[in-house]
Amino acid sequence: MSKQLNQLTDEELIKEFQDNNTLEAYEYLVKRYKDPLMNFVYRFVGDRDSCTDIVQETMIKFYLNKDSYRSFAKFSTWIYTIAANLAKNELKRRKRRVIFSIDNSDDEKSPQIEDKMFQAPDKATDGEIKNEIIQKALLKVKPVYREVVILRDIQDLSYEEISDITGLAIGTVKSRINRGRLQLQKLLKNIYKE
Amino acid sequence: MDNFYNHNENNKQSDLIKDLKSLPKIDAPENFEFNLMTRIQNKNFGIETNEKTKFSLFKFFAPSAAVVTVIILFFIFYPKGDQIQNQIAIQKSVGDSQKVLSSVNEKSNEFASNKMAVRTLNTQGL
Repeated sequence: MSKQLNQLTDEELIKEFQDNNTLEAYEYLVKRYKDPLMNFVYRFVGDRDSCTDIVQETMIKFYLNKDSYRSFAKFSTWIYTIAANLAKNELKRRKRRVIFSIDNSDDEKSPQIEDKMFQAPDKATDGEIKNEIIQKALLKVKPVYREVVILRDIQDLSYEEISDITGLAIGTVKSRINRGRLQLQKLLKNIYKE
Repeated sequence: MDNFYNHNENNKQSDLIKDLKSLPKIDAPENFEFNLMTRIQNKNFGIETNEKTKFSLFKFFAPSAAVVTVIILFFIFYPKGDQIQNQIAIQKSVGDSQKVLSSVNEKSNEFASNKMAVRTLNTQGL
């Protein structure tokens, strides 16, 4: 039985979970999607702890609302939509906290590592530091652009899937991806200059 | 010239896209599934749903209770319209009965004075 479940597609697994409440089917889907969702949410919110909570909440919502999934949509689209909405809520919550916090420092606006790297261009080629710089730059891109850039360039989703997840027209998706990339290029100009 | 700039831009974008794709993948922690299934088994679905229920009940009843209390207090402490009318009617009837009393007094005085007059006439043999 376990082997059979393992060979089922996502849509078949969720159908099994919906029809027969088979917890094992649910567990297989969690196993398949926990890492991709962690990657997506981490790149979007930038914080590991929040990211784990958000992906946990996503799986809980999946468990509680399994019957709201309709088989005409891809399961991946559905679960990414839940994760994206929770991630956006987290960003909104952070924004409110920043507005009401007494210590309203501007540390986030100027990443110190990035400034140091711009002073030492030879270090910018180091893989780990470069990745950190890219991640910090990504967090500075507007969330509406950041989301689609991550889904396209990091998660490798198609324009159609991204359109379904975000609820945007494909043209808007492409335009936002382009703008997001341009913003990123501007922020990373010291790395990508000829 | 245009082709050169477009080519340049495309190169920069392709480098950026390449770097984005090669960012290290972040994995879920090892105890992720264990923690998740424990929560599900304990039905620990987070504070959000519980708070939501409490929050909506309180939100619904508190303003209604406040409005009802104000209305009740209004009717207790402020006289009603018909009460005012009753008071006026009472005053009127009091006024009327006073008038009646005063006319009765007048009449009885008149009667008494007439009686006196008759007595006087009788004593005079008239």
